[in-house]
Amino acid sequence: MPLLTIDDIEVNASEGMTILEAANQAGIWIPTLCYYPKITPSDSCRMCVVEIEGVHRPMTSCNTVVRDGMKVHTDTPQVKNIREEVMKLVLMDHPLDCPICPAAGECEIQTLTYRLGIAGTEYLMERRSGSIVKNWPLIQYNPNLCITCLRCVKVCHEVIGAGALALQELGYNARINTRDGGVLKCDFCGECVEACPSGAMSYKESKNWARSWELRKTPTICTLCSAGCRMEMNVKDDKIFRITTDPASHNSGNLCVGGRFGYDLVHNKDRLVSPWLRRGGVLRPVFWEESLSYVSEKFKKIILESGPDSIAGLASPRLTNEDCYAFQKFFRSVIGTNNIDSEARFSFLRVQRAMELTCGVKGTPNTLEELLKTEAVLVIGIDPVEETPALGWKIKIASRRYDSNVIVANSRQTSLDPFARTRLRIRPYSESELALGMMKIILDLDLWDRKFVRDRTTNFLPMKGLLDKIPLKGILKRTGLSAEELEEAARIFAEASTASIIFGGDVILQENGLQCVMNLVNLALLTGAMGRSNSGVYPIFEKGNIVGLCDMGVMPEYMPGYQDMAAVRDLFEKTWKAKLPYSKGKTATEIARGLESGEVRAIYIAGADPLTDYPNAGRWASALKKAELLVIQDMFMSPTAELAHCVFPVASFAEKEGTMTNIEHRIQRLAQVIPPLGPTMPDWSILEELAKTMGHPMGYFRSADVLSEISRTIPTYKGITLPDLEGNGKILRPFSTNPERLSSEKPFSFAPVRTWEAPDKDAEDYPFEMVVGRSMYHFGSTSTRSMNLLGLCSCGNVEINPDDAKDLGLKQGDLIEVMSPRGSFEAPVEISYKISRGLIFVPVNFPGMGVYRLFDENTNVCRVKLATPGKTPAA
Amino acid sequence: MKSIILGRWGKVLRYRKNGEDVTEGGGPEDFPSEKSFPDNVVAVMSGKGFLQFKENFDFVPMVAEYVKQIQTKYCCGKCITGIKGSKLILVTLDRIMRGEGQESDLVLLRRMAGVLNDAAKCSVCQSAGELLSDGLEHFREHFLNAVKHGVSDGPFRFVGSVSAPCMNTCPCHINIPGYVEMLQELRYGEALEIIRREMPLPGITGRICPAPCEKACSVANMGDVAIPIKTLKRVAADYEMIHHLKPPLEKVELTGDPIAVIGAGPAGLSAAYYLNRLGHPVTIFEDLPESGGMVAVGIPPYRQPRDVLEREIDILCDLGVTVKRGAKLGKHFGINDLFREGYRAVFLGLGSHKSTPLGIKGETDGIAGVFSGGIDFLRNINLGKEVSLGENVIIVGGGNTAIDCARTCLRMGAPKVSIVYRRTQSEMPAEPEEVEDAGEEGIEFHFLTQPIEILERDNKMTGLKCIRMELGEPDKSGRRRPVPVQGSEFVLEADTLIPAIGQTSALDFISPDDGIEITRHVTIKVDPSTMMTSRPGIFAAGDVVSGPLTVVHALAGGKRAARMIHEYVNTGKCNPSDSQWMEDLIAKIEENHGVLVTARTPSREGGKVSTMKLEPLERIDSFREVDSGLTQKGSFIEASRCLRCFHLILLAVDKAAS
Repeated sequence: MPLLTIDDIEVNASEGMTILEAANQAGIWIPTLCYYPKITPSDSCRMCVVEIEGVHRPMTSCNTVVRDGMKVHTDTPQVKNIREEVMKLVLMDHPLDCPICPAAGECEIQTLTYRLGIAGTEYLMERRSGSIVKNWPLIQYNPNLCITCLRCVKVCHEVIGAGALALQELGYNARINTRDGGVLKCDFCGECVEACPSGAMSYKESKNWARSWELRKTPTICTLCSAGCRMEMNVKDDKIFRITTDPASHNSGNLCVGGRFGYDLVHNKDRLVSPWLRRGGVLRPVFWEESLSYVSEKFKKIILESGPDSIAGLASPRLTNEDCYAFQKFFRSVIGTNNIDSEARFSFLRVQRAMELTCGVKGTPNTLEELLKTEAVLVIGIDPVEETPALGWKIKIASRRYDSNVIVANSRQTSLDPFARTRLRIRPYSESELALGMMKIILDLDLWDRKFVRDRTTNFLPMKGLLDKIPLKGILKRTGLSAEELEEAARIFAEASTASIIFGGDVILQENGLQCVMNLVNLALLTGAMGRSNSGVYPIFEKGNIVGLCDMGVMPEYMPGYQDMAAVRDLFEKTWKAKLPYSKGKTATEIARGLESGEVRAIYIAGADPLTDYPNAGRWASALKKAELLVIQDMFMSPTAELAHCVFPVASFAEKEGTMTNIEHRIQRLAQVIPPLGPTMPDWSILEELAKTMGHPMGYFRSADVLSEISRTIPTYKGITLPDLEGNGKILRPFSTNPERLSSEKPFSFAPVRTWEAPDKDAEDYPFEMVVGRSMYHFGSTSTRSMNLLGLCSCGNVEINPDDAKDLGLKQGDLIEVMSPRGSFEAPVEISYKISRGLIFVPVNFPGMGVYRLFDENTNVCRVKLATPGKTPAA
Repeated sequence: MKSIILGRWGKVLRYRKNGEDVTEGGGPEDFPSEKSFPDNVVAVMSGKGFLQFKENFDFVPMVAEYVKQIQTKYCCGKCITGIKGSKLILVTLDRIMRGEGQESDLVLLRRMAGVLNDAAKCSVCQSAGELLSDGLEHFREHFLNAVKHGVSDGPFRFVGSVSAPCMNTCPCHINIPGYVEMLQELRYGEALEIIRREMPLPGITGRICPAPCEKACSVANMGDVAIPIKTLKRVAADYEMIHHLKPPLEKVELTGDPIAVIGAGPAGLSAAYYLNRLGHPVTIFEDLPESGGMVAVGIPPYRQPRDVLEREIDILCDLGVTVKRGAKLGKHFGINDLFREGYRAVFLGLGSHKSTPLGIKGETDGIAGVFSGGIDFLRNINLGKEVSLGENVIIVGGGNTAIDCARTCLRMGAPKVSIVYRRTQSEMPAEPEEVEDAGEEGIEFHFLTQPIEILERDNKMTGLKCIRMELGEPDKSGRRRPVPVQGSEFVLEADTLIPAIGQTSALDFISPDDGIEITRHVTIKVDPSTMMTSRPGIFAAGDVVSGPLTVVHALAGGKRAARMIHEYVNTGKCNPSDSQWMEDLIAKIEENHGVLVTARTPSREGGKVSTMKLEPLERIDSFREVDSGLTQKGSFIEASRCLRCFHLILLAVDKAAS
């Protein structure tokens, strides 16, 4: 531990710390302009110079590492003079346009000029008059305000790994530009603007109507994906002006395009601002009382006629923990049924099941931070840079700075490909086979972790038995890989001392999702990559609060906290002062079946849009039409809402208080930043109102009341209060349904399972396989209401390989019809090398397209044919 | 006779007073010798100081040119002081030179000189400040005169070039601080782009280059451990390789003249690469079944894995270079055939693949167990030929080849391997690290030992009769000459002998009619600045010119030859460009005096950054690569220690004289 003095004050620094960091830690101010903690020092501004005794020239403190016994002076006449002179050089041609500068009030040049007391500059130089770059989307660059401190370039490259910006030209002409000099085309994370010390980089949409000092900053979290990044909403006059971040947040103050620019969906003019009720076949706006009593009466009538189990509910991972908890409580205590489920049925719950079978826990215990120091990462069936950027960026950093070996397995090219040691372009649907193939090779090459398997796992012999039976040839055929590719991947993964597997929709949503996840866990177990830090599995889900949704018990089989009804019936009946149902509830698929058969007469959907989001959307469309009563809670008139009898308008994530739980099981606070729009209410509040109308109030007045109940009824959330969640929230331990197993010596168990061949019955008539996923700039379907994001990506394109496009005579932007035996949609063509021949890729974010309507039940791959609208289909 | 009229070098001042040479703060030895500069050089400015050789010299336009070159060519744009300070100086000097200046401008210049000197990021812009201060102090009347009358074009032209100690020492003159900075920024691709501009085989030199650059590193000269420049290069190359990334090299349309390159060794590959970049269709003719020359057949895979070499050659072929293997000059075709076939120029990169015999009794008697030479031995092994060794192997020699043979024998399973060398360990020409590694692996050394006769029984080798040596007076190479100790003969038991005492080129197929002059050391004679042989249109470089030397020398020679061939086929002439002239000049001055860009303080060897190596026992049972270099994390930390000691060197050259 080096001990040094800075301005005669003794400072205990840690090894490798810079003088600037040591001074900051000791509360000694050293002025800086280019220093930015997220990145390596640029040492370009020369402002942080200090004198070190025994060193003949002034040194920049931002990149000089402390040594024991160093004597540093930060305030000598020489360094003061340098700072003053450099500041005068900065000011000599810097346009003093502060009144119209977007950075005014928070500009570091402005602040430092003031703080150093510089009254003017005697250096004469023509004022800079370069033209402002206005043709980039969302971001604007004014070279005249730029001091080429390189923060933007470095944050773009080092933190985001996008490398979109570069310093171009030399000397006085040096300026920031895109790497290729063209229009900015990047991840649009906005980190360059956040990093800019002046007004050189600015947000195009956030200007003119608010000055920085007029803004109220409220810390909250982003709800668009399951990483739950912290951010600050900057508000004036109840309108969100922009988003900023705090470097001390768990996401290190980094945000992606969704968090940074998606906020404007809150102010979308299409927001629902009153309840809508279908009268005479037409939806019309009504007052709350009318709609609530309509739904209440209908519910009561149906309960009376067919019993509570003829009513069902679906909730959404967009909701807060409080919303979800109130939702299940409403159904269980007010309606009296366990018929509640969500889209987690097709994704999260499968992973939970696989984890429970193999590891005895619900959920995955690793933090995102651990990924940075993981030696090998297998990224399979997902592009995390697009879906969960916070995680994707960590992998990029790990690959470049920490020697992590990344293996990407995907049916299309991903943003991580350039960072990967091995890129496995696998056939869709073959992820499970890939895992089996890697295991087989790892056994053959004797690279498995014998000790771990022997000491910590059970069921190895059946696993080996299965692997012995599977011929490698078949695996190679199914996956479309060569033996060399598979062996390279197997070696990299097995030889690493720590290894993690990241998987997403392609794995989880497929028909054999459960089996596929189990095989990935098997692979982790075989190599000992489980139950230790920096090793494990990371499932990625599309939406914000899928973990919380399930923790809150929005599913028929478990009460909140995965507790068995039988075990906790008393507790809940006492807490809720109501009798709880005995009937086994219906899962989402059973609810659909119930609707079809008439067994389920009414359905209440909070925040979900099955017609867009559910993997069997076609079936839902017809099933929901049969409902006697369809009630929707949503921010927008979604395709599902258009079928509804009653639509309740809800408050957005900026307009309500609550908590959410992210993929690392971190519970965090969502703050109310602005008042609810018009008469909209938070989801939990609508349910409370409805409960009241039905004569069974749940007793909630504030969102905190719900949290307080959660903290009493769910053991993992025990004792949690809002103050506990200040800052980065709290990471909870995953649930264990069998605590004994966890503490046993052999907590892990192989789950040998082989998946079956995907049916290829339609191959002749439907020559293409459609792979679905997410658009780079959208998160779920909600973000398609953001004008900012629509500006980046306005519609879903059909990605097709250039050779296929050539065969079909398609050009970029041509409208094309995609048809399956179940349905069709039209979309423009995007010709792209990212996709292999015989495949097309389509994003599912856009409600208008209804991509999932083309699918068979419960799968994420489907055979399609393509046709130019109005022409015969090409076979 | 040229002499320094006035100069500052570092902190030392030198001037003429009453016809006498006076120095302050040091001695004349602190200055580069005026003799190293060509006669037409009037003055020099560099990061170290300035030298004035002639009276008719005006400081103002030269310093203005110096600052202008910085602004337009070398200021990286990454430091505010550099960008704006040098711009302000340039604008002010321009004004003065136009005759629109005022005396108060000189105050501003002095002030700005101080700011640049104190607060610019690196030595390029700092030096502008220092030089300006020099001028205002020693040439004030030049400035006052300029303020009054302005400055018109002088009788000089200026030639400038940027270098750094490491860059200059590297025979290929790679922009080392540039790529080190890219590694610090985790920009592996950009680092390689910088490297490939001057040197096409980063994966290979990143492993086996003796790295003279590291010995010149300023960080080392200041007493710290040198930046591991060589290994950093390898980290970048390995990153590209293990990630299966396509090198960011664009294919050039090959519309130039066809060129023949003989020999696919480092010199030939380098020549082919740069000719390709210049748009010439190149065909390489290689005698052996494998490309890579000595790198492929002379260096064992545990030092230089084959896949690295193959990949680097594949990159070359992907760019459009054709390689014809099994085509031997002098056997399958002659030089004149090539010209007849339409090749406009021929490059000879023949290498030196012929072992030097020991010249002792029994060597040529066909005794079983006696090999013809180390290079032949390694070539046979590397080409996969069956080679059988005995139980007890002796290698004679002290160079890298001897060590390579010994370690190879060990890996082939020989239980006992020893090296016999006539001097001591400190005189061994082999890389000290190699010697150390060999020792760790269990190879025995017999120093001060000279073989004199091979002993045999039934035509099988039984031992080597040797004599003890002692070190006498230094010879031409500066090493002390070994002298036999009378009566000290003794016998080392051995059943296998590999002489590895040197190698030469085989040039017997070149006939006097070919017009290619050959030296008495059996090398091809070339003009060192153009690499052209005595026959116009035929160029040569590499070991066949220099005698056995390093890969990086061969690469540098091949590159220079390529650029000259381009010039030759386009213009029929062959003159080094200004920048090449500067490059050679700086290198020459450095070699002789070591003061132009390198700090004069003798290198205090601060040790070496240690890389990740296999344990000795793990090494010797296979040809697996011993050294795996640095991690990316490690390289990032090491790279951030670089001081970026770039220097701009500007010469004022007499227009009339040049």
